[in-house]
Amino acid sequence: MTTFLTFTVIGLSAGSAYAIAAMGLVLTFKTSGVFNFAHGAVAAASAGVFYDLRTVRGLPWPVALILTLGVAAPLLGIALERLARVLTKRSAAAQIAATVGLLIVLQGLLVIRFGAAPLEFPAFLPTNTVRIAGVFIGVDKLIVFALGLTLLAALTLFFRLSRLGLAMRAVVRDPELLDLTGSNPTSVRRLSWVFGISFAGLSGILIAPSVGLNGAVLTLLVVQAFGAAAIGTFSSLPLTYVGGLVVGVGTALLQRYTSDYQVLAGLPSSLPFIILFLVLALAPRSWIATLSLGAARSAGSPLRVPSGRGLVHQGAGFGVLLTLLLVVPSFAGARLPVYSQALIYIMVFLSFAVLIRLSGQVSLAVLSFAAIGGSTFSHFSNDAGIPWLFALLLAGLVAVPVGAVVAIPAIRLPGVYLAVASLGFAVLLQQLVYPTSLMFGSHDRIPTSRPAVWGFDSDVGYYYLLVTAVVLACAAVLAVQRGRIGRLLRAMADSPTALVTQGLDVNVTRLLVFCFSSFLAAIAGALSGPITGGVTGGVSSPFTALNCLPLLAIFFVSGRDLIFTSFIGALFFILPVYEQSEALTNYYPLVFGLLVMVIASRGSSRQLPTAGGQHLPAALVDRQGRGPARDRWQRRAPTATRPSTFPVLRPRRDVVENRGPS
Amino acid sequence: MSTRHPRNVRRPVAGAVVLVALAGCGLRIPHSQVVAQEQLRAGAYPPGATGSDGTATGATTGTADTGTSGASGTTSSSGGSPTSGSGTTTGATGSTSTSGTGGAPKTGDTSPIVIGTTGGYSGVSNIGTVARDTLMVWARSVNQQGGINGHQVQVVAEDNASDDNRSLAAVQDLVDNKHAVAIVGLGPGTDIAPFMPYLQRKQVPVVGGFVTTGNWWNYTMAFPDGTYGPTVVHGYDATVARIAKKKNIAILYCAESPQCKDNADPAAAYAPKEGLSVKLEQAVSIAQPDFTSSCLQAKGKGVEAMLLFVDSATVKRIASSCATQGFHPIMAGLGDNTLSSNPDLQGMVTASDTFSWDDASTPALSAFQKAMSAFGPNVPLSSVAAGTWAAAEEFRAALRGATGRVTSATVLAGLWKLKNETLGGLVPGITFTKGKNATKNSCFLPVQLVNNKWRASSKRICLSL
Repeated sequence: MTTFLTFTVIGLSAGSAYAIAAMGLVLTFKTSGVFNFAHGAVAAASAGVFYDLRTVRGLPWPVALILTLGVAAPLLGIALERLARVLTKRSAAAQIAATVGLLIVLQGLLVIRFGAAPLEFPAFLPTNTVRIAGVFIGVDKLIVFALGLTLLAALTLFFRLSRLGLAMRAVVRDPELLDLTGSNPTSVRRLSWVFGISFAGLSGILIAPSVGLNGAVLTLLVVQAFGAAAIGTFSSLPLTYVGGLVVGVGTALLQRYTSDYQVLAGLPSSLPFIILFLVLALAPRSWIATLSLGAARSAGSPLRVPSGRGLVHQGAGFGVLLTLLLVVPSFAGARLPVYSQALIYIMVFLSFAVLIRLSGQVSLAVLSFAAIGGSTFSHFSNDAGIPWLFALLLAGLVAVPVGAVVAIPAIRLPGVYLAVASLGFAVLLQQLVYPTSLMFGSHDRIPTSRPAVWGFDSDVGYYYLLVTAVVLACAAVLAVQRGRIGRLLRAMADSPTALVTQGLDVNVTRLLVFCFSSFLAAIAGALSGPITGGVTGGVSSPFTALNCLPLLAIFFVSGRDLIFTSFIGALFFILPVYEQSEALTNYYPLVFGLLVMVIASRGSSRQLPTAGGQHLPAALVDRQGRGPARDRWQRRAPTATRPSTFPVLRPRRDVVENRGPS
Repeated sequence: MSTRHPRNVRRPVAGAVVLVALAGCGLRIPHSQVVAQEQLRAGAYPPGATGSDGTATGATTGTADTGTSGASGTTSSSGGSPTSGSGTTTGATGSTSTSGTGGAPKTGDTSPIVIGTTGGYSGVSNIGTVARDTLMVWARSVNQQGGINGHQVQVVAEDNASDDNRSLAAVQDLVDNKHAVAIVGLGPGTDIAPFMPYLQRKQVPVVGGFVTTGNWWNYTMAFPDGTYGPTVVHGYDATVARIAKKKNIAILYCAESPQCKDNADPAAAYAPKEGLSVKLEQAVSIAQPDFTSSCLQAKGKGVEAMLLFVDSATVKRIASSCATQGFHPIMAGLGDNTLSSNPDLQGMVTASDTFSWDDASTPALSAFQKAMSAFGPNVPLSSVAAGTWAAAEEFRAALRGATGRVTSATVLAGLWKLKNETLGGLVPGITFTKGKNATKNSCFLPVQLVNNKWRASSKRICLSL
C-alpha cells in the first residue's frame, strides 16, 4: 500500500504537467474551434522568449514572465486569431495543415535562435524538496500542481459564471447568434486566442524546467497530453485535468508493476496513446455527439470527376508526366535514388488522396501502414522466401486488416478527431510494435531485395519498376474515383448524413476506403526498401509516426487534384537535393510553414449544402440526373427515420456548376 | 464551372512550384542540401581564433616529411607554451605510428585531395553537424600545416537529412561528380549499408566516423576507425564493473526509437559476463516530465549504476530526478562535454571506441585539442568529435608516403598497409587487409567523468568477441 501511495504521488506530480499541457490545448480548442497541433510549439516558443529575456538578457524572472505572457503571447494570440477566423470555415485537413505550418514556423524560429540542440532551462521556482509519502517532491512541482488546480478552478468558474466566458464558448458554436446578443464575435474570439496562447505559454514556461528548452520534446509531451484531453472529450477542463493526472498516475503505476515483465517494458510510456486511441475509438455515442460540436466539418469538399475536355486534359497531363518519369534516368545520374524515393512518396500521397480527396477523412496513420508493408515484405521475401511479387502483394494485404482495426472504431469520429485518433494509433504502433520481431525487431535495418528478372535488380531497372507501380496505383485510384464506390465516396465527403438518409451504409464505404488506402501505403512501404536494400524503423526511418504531420502539410499545399497533387508533393523530396545554399537552410522551415498557413487559410470556404440542410449530395446524381437507385448493392432497407420524400432529387444547378476543387 | 477549376488548380500548382524552389519543411523532413567546402567555411573557423578557454590560439605551422615514419610537427601556441610533437609515437596497444604527413610534395602534383562526407545537417534533425564541423576543423588544421604530402585537403559535405535514400544519392554524387577519393568521418544518423554496395562497385573507401553498427565490419570497402561497434555496448557493462566497481545495474532506454532497445538488449544480455545483475530494464519516453518513478524503483532494487540509452539531455534529466530522491547511482552512456559540469553526473562512465575528447596527454591528443580550440571553439567535444577526428587521421595515415596524384586506389593501398595502427594512441589497433573485411578489435577505452573532466583510463580494456 505504501508503494502504491508513493507511486501515486509520483504520478500526480508528473501528471500535473500533462494536465496543464492538455488544459491549454483544450482551452484553445474550446475558445477557437481550432485543434492546435502546434500547441507544444507555442508552449516552446513562449518558453524560448522567457529564456531569452531571463537567461540571455538577464531580466528578473517576474519581469520576463510578465513580458512573455503579457506582451509576446497576446501578440501571437492576436495574429493567430486572424488565421483561426478563416480556418474555422475550412476543412479539417486545412485546419490540421495550417497548425502544422505554425508548428514548423515556431520550430524553425527556435532552431534559428537557439540551435537544434536542447537547452537547459534554469529553474526559476524554488527547487528544494519536501517528503510526501516516502518520495521527495520539488517545491516547484508542488507550485505547478497547485497552480494547475487554481487555474482549473478559475477557468471553470470563468466559463460558467462570467458573461465573457459564456461568450467565448458561444463564439465557437454560433458567432452569428452571439452577434445578435450584442457581443462582438471578433473581439471575443481575439480575446479567446490571447487567453489560450497565454495559457499555452504559461504551460511551456512551467514545464520547460523539467524537460528543457526543446521544441520537439515539448511537442511530443503535448501529443502525449492528447490522451488527457481525450478523457475530457476535448471540451471539459475539469475532466481534462483529471485525465492528465490519470495519465501521470497510470504511467507511474505501470512502470512500477510491470518492471519485472520485460515484454511489457514499453507499455508505461505508451499509456497516453493507448488512452487516446481507446477513448476516441470506444467513445459512446453521447461523447461522439459532444465531439461533433467541435468539429462537424469533413476533411474537404468532394472532387469533381473530369469529363469531356477535362478528361482529355487529364489524359494529356498523364502523358506528359509519364514521359517525364521515363526520361528521369537520363539526367538524374547520382541522384536517381532520390527520384525513386519520390515515386514512393507519390504512392503515399495517393494513399492520402484517397482518404482526404475522395472520402473527406484525415488519417495520420498512413506512414504506419507503409512501415507495416516495408517490414512485412522483408519478412515474406527474405525470411520466408516467398516469390517477390507474391510477397509484395501479401505485404499490402497484411495492412488491410490492420487498417480495418483502425477504421472500424475510428470512422465514427468527425473531422479532426479521426486525425488525432489515427495519430495516437501510429505512435502506439511505433513504440510497441516496431521494436518487436513482427516488424523491425532488434535490428537497425532489415534487408529487402529487388526482383532478379528483366533487369529490375539494377538501379535504373528498379526505377522503372517503381514507375510501373505508380502508374498502376494511379489507375487504381482513378478507377475507384470513377466507379460506383467513387460516387459514394464523393457523396460521403459531400454529405454523409444525406447518404444515410438514402439508406446507404456510410461506414462500410469508409471502411473500404481505409482498407484501400492502407493497401496502397503498405505497397509503397514495401517498394521503398529495395531502393537501398533495406528498411528501418529507427531514427532515419521515413515511417515515424510524427512524420505524417509535415507530410500532410506538403500534400495540402501541393494542390487539390486527386492525382497530380501527389506528383507535385513528390517534388518536395527532389528539388532540395539540388539546393546548394547552406545559408538558407535554416530559413526553409520558416518559409515553408508560412506558406502552408497561407495556402490553408486561403482555400475556399464554400461548403456544399448538407443533408442536415436540404440537398441531395450531387455526387449521388449521375449525369442523367438519376438518383442513387442504381447503387442497390449497398442499399439498406428504408429506416423509420428516412423521410418519405427527399426534398430535392436533382442538385441545384448553381451548386453543381460551382463545385470543383476548392 | 470550367472557369473556376483551372484557376483553382493553377494557384496551388504555382504556389507549390515556388514552395518547391524554397522547399523546406521542419520536423523530420529537412529539405536542404549542404555542399560545404572547407574553403567556404573559412570564415566560420578563422585562423588564429581564440580558443574557448582563451589560452590557445591557432597560429599553427608545421613541417613534415612524407616518409613512413618520423614526421615532425611543431605547433606554436601564442597563449601558452609551445609544444612539440614528435612524429613517432607508440600507441597503447603497441604499434608504431606517425602523426603527421604534411609538408612539400614529393612530386610536382599539388592538386587538392577531395574527401566527401554526408550527414543530417539541416532542420531539427541536424545530428550530423558535429561530425562535419570536426572534419572541417581537421582539414583546416592540416591545410595550415601544408596539407597532406603537399596536397591541400578539400572537404565536401552533403546533407542527407538522415535519410537512407538521400545518403545513397549524396555518396554517389560525391564520388561521381565531386570526385571524392574517399568518404570520411560519418556522423551519427548515417547508416553505411544503403551506399556500401555502390562503394564496393566503385572501389571507393569509407573511412571511419560513428562506427557503432556491425555493418562497418561487413564490407571490404569499409574502414572503421575504432572498436568493433557491437562490443562498445558491452564496454558499458565492463566499465561499470571494472572501473566503477558496481554490481547491480538498471538499464533505461528511449521508447521513441527501436535503436535504443537494440542497444539495451545486448547490454542486458552481456551484463552477467561481467558479473553484473540487471535489476531493472525499462523503456522511458524522452518527453516524460520526470523520471522519479524509474529512479525510485532502481533505488528500491539496490541499483548502483544505470546504463542509459537516451540522448544527452535526457541523461541529465534522469540524473536530476534520481538526485532529487537522494539517489546517486553511477550513470553510464554516451558522453560529451555538455554533461561535464553537471554535479549529478560526476562519476559517469562511458566506453570510447576511439579516445577521450577531454585528454591532451599525448601529442596526438594534444593536436586534437589545439585544433578544435583554434578552429572550432564552438564545436562541442564529444565521442562523435573524437570519432571523426580519428577517422580523418586514419585517412591521413593511409597517405603516408604516397606520391603523385591521390586517387581512391592510393588511399586503399595505404589503408591496406595499416596493421595494428593506433594513430598515436587515438584508436585501438586497426588492421586492414586487401579483399577482407576490417579486423574486429574489441578493445575500448574506459572514460570517467571526474571533477568536470572526462578522464581516460591508462589502458584499453579488451573483451572477447
